[in-house]
Amino acid sequence: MARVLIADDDADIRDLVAFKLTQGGHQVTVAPDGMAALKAVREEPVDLALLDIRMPGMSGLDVCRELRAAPETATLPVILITARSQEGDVEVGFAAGADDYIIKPFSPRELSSRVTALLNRVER
Amino acid sequence: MIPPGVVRAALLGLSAVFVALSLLIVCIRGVRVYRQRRRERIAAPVRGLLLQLLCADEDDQSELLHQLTQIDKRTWRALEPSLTALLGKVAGGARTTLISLYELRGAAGDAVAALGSHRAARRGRAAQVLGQLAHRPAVAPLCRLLADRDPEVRLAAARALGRIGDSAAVPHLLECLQGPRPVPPGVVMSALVSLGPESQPRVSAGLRMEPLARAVAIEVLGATGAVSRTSEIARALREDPEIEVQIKAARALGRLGMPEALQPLLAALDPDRPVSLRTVSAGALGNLGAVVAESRLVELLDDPNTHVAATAARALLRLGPVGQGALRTAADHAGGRAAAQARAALAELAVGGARHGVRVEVAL
Amino acid sequence: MSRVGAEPWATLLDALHSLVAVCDHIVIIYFLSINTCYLVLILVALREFLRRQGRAPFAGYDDAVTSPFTPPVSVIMPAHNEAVGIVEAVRAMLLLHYPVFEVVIVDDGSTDGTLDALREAFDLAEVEHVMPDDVPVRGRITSVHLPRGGPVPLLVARKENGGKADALNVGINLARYPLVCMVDADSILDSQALLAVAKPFSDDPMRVVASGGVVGLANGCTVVGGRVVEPHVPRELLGRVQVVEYLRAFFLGRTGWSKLGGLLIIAGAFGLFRRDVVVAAGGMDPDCIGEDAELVIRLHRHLREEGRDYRIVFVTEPISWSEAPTQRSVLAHQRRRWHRGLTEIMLKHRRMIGNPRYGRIGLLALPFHVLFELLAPVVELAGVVLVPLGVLLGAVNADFLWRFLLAAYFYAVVVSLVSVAVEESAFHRFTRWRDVWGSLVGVVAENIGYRQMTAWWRLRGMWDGLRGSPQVWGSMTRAGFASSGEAEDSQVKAGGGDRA
Repeated sequence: MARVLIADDDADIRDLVAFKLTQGGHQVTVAPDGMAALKAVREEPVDLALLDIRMPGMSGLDVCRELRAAPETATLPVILITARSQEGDVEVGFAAGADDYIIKPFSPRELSSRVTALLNRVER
Repeated sequence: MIPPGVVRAALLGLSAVFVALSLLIVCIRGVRVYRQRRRERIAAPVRGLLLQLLCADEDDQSELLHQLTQIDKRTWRALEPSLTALLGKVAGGARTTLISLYELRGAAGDAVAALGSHRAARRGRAAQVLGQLAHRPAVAPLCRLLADRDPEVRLAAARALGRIGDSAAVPHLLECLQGPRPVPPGVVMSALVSLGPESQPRVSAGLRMEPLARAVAIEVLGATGAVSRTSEIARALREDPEIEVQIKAARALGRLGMPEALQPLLAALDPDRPVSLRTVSAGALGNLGAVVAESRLVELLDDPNTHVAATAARALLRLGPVGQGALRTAADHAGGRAAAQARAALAELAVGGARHGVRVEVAL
Repeated sequence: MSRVGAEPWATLLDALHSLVAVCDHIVIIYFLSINTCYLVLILVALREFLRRQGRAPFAGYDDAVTSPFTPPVSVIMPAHNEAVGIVEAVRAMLLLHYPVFEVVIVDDGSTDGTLDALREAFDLAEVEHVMPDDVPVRGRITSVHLPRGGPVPLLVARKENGGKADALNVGINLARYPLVCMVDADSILDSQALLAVAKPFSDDPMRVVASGGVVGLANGCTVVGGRVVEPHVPRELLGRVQVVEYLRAFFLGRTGWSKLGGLLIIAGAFGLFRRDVVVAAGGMDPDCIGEDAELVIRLHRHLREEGRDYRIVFVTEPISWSEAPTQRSVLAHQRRRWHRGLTEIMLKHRRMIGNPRYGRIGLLALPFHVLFELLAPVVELAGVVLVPLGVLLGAVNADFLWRFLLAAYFYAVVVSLVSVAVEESAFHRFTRWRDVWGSLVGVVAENIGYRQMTAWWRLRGMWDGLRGSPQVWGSMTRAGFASSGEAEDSQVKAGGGDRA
């Protein structure tokens, strides 16, 4: 069991992901925007963060960079959710410090297995 | 001039408006919050079911699906924004389930009917939903919507046709580029590209249409890797009377990377051709990676036009060791302009940040 | 003897009497019509917002992100002594959500180590570069830098000081993509800003040549990681007033003008242009103070003279934020400069005003801006002097007047209030009740006090512009024709700006 943060401005996706991950036995925190995500992580540490790139105000990339800049979250595993499919954009994501990314549209099952895979990788 | 009575009345009227507006601002807030809560309250009980359905294994799905198709109209309407939002964002089994929910509910048919609505916003939303459902029976009415009187609805129809992925839409998409109610080429190109390689034969028919359709067809063939069409595209570069079409052809030939492209691209570099065509052609030769083009590209380093010369230098970088060697020689031996261009390209290579991209002057 | 002397006196007094009465009436009519015009613009904007709301579901932003045909953008950011904030600003810029773009920073001869800060943060290496000369540039380029090794699409150029417009011209030359986005170094952009402002170019590529974004006030907002995360109305009065002013004049006013096809100003803080069209029009004019507005008017002029079918549009999504001055002296300086710029631009392009050849621009937008923007401080201050004089001379009925003034100011307040209501219904950016209260205070203070206060500053700016006195900031000086009188001066400048 792991604690996972999901940040997405779209309530439907947020709830869907939260539902799927809870089903998979994780403890889930949700945040409707980048600011709330940062706040949530600071208040209560998590084991993994799922961030949507396309959020108004602070995007997932912005949040990712902020997380990397703070020492206590510098190594937090981060997965970006993106609608981008071009190579250069994935590079930007990795440059901002993401560990993995999921391209929208995604299947809930795939997302869940990607989360598990990354958690396993980090544990080892 | 103005009787005092009128002024007094105006004052009173304004006071009333002032108070009314202040109240209105408060009300707008209140109503917005209320509506939002109401929708959430109505949808709440079934929303859980929906999430369960999307995350369920295949064996448990039919029962949940049945329950969701039975919900009353009011609840469905409250749930619908969630459904359409999710449609565009989930894939795989979850998406298939959502689509069957729509079909069982008859909602796809409703959306087809809404394509004929007199309200533009409604037609556009229906087109969007049908595209996300990939509802094939909607292809014909969506093709008609490409000539809608509202420009944004036309855009929505073109995007939807791209999502549905039926190549029967190709001729219509090519035709809607022109005429009194056009659809912009960028949107048509995206739609055509997302139809995939199966649509290539139909797209190539566009090579014999009006200039804009020719340009779009060539760009799409280049982007979908239609190597078998290289000779036709090369002919367009040589013979097409429209400069815009020639530029697209040069770029497509660079993408396709076939040896037949070499001669027409070299010919397009002649000093009497337009600068934009020469720039794109020089870049395409770099994409092609044809070592034989090296000497011509080296000559271009001294071109009076900076854009052509700079692109030639970047193209040489892409030719690998041979091109880089040529750049080094030029940097040491050539004079003035050429040496400066060569040094600039080599400096970019040295920091690892070569700006390969060719400037796109005309094509938006 | 005394009777002979009193006769002309009485006639003179009589004449003055009627002159003051006429002037007073002109002031009153002016006041009514300016606010009615604002109201019309606001209502046009409201209609546009409502139309867009129904269409948001199929606006196609997601498609724009994934499409390989979304036009790539070069973001140009001129910087002069910005060492403190530049690294943060560039980081935020590089994380904008857009398929393909590059960031071009032009360091305009900074003396505070702006370049060193960038060099350290992005591991820059100096490279040789051959600069195209598509638009003329004054300051020499001293060096060009690229980040080492990474896929970071950044280019930093350092040049000799030559002013903002000149730095932008260097950026235009260095840009390699078909769209150029001009951004102030201290602008805070929303992560979706480029997508929103580039959308008109994808939707109507044959006609759209420029688009401008909304500039909101960053004062009082919560800013994290170079983004505004929570917009608020600031606490200080001058800030509140400007929130309302930006809302009414810049946001709703420009939306209205965009809809009417007469958008004249795209704020330098955030605008997107087709590079080829800017190059064809000759780039930015380094002699002009309001170079951002001047470019847009010159684009109109250039494209109308070529007989092209084109559009210059305003994007309504809230996307860019700037800090507004809250100190009176700084605000005075800003307004004086703005109005000076406006005066110079109108003088330079006066041939277009009222000229049917320039369509709606010549017949509608420019006359409106001359009458209700340029001349507004003159009439407002004239009112302050003439109205009491009229009462004193008995030319106007005092009782009638104070009622009328009350009605007129009240009308202006109501117009501002309508703007707040429109914002609330269409965008509701402010989430707290306190912000609504703050903007209501701003509504009243803007119309009673603030506008009259700025009128004096604007009048002085206008005077500066008419006299063509040397510019009081930056290190640019006019080349020799500053003393040649107003009319010739502006002609020389008009000739200089029309280079193509």
